[in-house]
Amino acid sequence: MEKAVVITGLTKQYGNGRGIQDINLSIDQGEIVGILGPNGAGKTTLLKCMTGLTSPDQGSVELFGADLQSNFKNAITPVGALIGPAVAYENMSPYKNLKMISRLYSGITHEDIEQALCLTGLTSYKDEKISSFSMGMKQRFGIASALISKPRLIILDEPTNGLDIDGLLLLRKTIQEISSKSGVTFVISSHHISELEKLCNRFCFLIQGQASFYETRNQSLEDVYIMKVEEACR
Amino acid sequence: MNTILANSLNEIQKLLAKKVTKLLLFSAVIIPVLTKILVNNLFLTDWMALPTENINFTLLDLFVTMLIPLYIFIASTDLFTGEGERGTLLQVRPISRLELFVSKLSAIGILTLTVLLAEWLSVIISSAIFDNTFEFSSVTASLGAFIVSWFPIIVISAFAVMLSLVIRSSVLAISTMIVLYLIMMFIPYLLPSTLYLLPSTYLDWYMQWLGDVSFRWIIQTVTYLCSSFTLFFSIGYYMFNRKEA
Repeated sequence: MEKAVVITGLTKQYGNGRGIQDINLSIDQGEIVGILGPNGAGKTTLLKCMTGLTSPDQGSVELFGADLQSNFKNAITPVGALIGPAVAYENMSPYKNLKMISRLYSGITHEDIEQALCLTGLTSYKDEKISSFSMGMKQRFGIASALISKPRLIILDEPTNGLDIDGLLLLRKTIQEISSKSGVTFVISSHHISELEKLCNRFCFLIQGQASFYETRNQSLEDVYIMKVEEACR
Repeated sequence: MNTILANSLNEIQKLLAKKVTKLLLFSAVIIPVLTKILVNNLFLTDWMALPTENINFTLLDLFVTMLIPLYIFIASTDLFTGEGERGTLLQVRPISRLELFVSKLSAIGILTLTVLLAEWLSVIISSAIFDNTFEFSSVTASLGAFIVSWFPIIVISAFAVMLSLVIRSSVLAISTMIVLYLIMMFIPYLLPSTLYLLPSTYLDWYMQWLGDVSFRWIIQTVTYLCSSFTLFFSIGYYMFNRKEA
C-alpha cells in the first residue's frame, strides 16, 4: 500500500509554549484519518505543517514519497486542503475563484469546476459575489476549492464549521463517495466526535502537542477521547 | 501553463476587479483627451504657445510621478498586506513562494505598463485630432519616452512591495508609503546631496533620452535602477519567504 503521508519527528513550538512536539504519523492511501483534540492542542498547526503553510522547527513531511521541504511542488500538487476559514477573493464569484485556482493545475476543465460547485451545492450561486455568502456557504466554497484539482489527499480542518444540516449531510456523503470511488485519502480535524466517528477509520488524538492513535472501535470514541485527555493531565 | 504566467493572470484579474484599477485605466485614456480639448478649443489660449510635445510630457509626468505611484501603493498593499489580513496570501497550491512573489510583482508591472501604453495611445490619437502642429515624426520619440518611464516605476513597485511586507496593517502600509514618497520627493530641496540616492528622482529619467543622450549618465542611471531593484526585490522576497499562514 502506497503511503500518502509520512511524518517524522515533526516539531513546531510557538512563543506561547503551544505547538506540536515530535509527531510521527504514517497514513496509507485510501484511509480516512480523524484528528481529535481540545482547543489549542495543535491540530491546525499539524495540518499547516503538513501543507507547507508553516515551516516546522524540526522533522519532515513526505506526501506520496515527495519531501515537502525540498520538493514542494511535487509534494503539494496531489493535495487539496481547507485549513481554517475558507479562503476566497470575496469580490469575485465562486466560479471565478475556482477558475483562478484551476490555472495553477494542468487539466482542470470547465466541467470540473461545475462538478465541484455541484458537489458542494453551489451551482445556483456560482455567479454571485462571495462577499454576499453566509458563513456556511463560504465553507461550502472552501470545500469546493479543496476538491477542484481532484486531489489524492484531502486535508480538512474543521470542515463542518458553519455548515447547516444539509451542508453537513452533503459533506458526509461527498467524503464517503469520493473515498469509496476514487480511494482518496482524507485527513479531517474536528471537534465533533460523532461526526468523525461516522466518517473515519483511524483516529489521531492530539493532546498538549503529543499524538497518540486509536484504530479499533471496541469502545466508543468519546470514552477513548476522555481517557486520553485524563491520561495526558496526570 | 507556466506557473508564474498563470498566477500573474490571476493577480491581474484580482487587480482588474478593483474599481481603482478601472479608474486609473479610464483616467489614462480620458485625461489626455480632455487636456487637448481644453488647450486647443477652450479658454486656455496662452497654452497654445506651448509646443505639443511639452503638453504630452506634462501629461506623462502627471501619471509617472503622481497617479501611477499612488496606484502602485494601493495595488501592492492589496496584494500583500491586504491578502495577509484576509488570509488569502498563502494557500495550499502548487506554486513556490518565489513564483508567487514574482507573479504578484509582475502583475503590478504589467498593469502599470498597460496604463502607460493606454495613456500614450490616447495622447497620440488626441494630438492627431486636436493639435494643429502635430507631426507623425514625433510618435516614435513619444513612445520611447513612455516606455523608458516604466523602468523606474518597476523599482518603485519593488520598493512598495517590500514595505507592504514589513507592515501588517493595510491602512498603515498605504499611509507609510505615501508619507515616504512625499519625503523622497521633497527631501532633495533640503538636502540636495541625497537627490541621486532616491528612487523617486529617476521617475522622469525619460528626459535623459530626449535630445542629446549622455551615455555616461544613462549607464549610471541604469546601474542605479538595477541595483536598487535587486535590493528591494531581495529584501521583499526574504520577508515573503519567512511569512507563515
